[in-house]
Amino acid sequence: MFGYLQIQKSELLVRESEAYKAVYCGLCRQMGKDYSVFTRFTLSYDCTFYAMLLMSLNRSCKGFKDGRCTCNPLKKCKFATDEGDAYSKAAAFSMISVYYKIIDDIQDSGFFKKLLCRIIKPFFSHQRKKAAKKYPDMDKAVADMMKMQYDAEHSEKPSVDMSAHPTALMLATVLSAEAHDETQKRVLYEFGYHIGRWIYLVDAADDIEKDIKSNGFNPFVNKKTGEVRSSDFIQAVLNQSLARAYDAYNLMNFTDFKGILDNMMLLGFPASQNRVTSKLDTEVNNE
Amino acid sequence: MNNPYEVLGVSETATDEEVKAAYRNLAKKYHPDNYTDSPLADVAEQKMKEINEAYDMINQMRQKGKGTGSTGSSSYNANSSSSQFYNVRIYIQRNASVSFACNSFGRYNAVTPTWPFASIRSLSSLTSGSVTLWKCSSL
Repeated sequence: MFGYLQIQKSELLVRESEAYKAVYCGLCRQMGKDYSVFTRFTLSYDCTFYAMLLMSLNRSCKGFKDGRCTCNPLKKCKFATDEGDAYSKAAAFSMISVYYKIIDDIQDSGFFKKLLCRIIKPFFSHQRKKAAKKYPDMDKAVADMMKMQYDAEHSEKPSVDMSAHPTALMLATVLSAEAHDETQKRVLYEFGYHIGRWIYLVDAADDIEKDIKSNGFNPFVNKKTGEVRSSDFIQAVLNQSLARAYDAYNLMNFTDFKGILDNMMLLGFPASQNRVTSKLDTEVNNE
Repeated sequence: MNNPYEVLGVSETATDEEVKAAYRNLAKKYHPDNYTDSPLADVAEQKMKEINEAYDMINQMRQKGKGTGSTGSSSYNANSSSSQFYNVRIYIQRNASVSFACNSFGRYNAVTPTWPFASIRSLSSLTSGSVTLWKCSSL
């Protein structure tokens, strides 16, 4: 699994850890059911977080049922049941974002990665069409984000804020659509915006070395001079986004999965951030 | 108003210290300084107001329960007759020092109440044997 929106497993209670596993097993099963067996390989921590957030907002998880892992039938699993459409939306979001990521990689990557992306593109194009048919607004939000992202990255002087804005706006739009009232819509918008911004920037910080080698765009690397922003600056920018996301998170009254969500916000996300920024410090020291 | 204990996230049997600690934790979380430049400042302010009201209500109910000797019944009606004395009672809790001494008949006697209010128009004293009670009449 990949993604930055992870738990800090060592600090979770055993029952919370089992509940988290049950959610991602449930999401994996839904992806296989709605799309294809092979789409299960795109299961990510980020979409698991999205599914859990939706289930908590709508209080739609009514229990857990026993079953067997679809990838390894010898392994017993618990699956969290969802009465709403949290799994369906998270699976659709996964298909749509993977498809547009493939499009982006075809434009920006080297020869071999481009070739691989071209080979798998038709498969994910078909899955994305199925997802877009169910949730057209979600597809539009991601498509608009890709276009804005392209424009931002190819602009004259792309700032950090300008580069992160499209992803932030996309996640704000997707999350705020789940609100039950106007106040919750504002809170979810703010939460989605800052989480989206954080994800984009932490991914950018993680890819600094790779982008310098491949001459790709990175908001923390000056296009003209090749100068890299200091790790203190990167840490401060990431902390600001996470803090603002946490302030918005506090204004939502979660009950279901609250322990897991608190663990993610307070421990898991900062740990992911520290893993990335400590790599930056190592690179600076090596230079 | 919602159940004030639920707003503070404590049980109804929580001690005063637990209620105070819960209030302080929530006040730190939703303090306006945390939302200075945030577009959600008004939402946080509303939440802070709710927490303050819940805390004040719990204090009021518990003081009322201690004063009458009965366990405070849950009354969330802001328009009840007790709300007439609400501001006075809060001021008393914060400013007045009252000491009670148990007299030889096992009754309680108010020894040195201090009433620094200009707004209290009349005080009536009731004497019953060796018990002297100071009672604040209706304002």
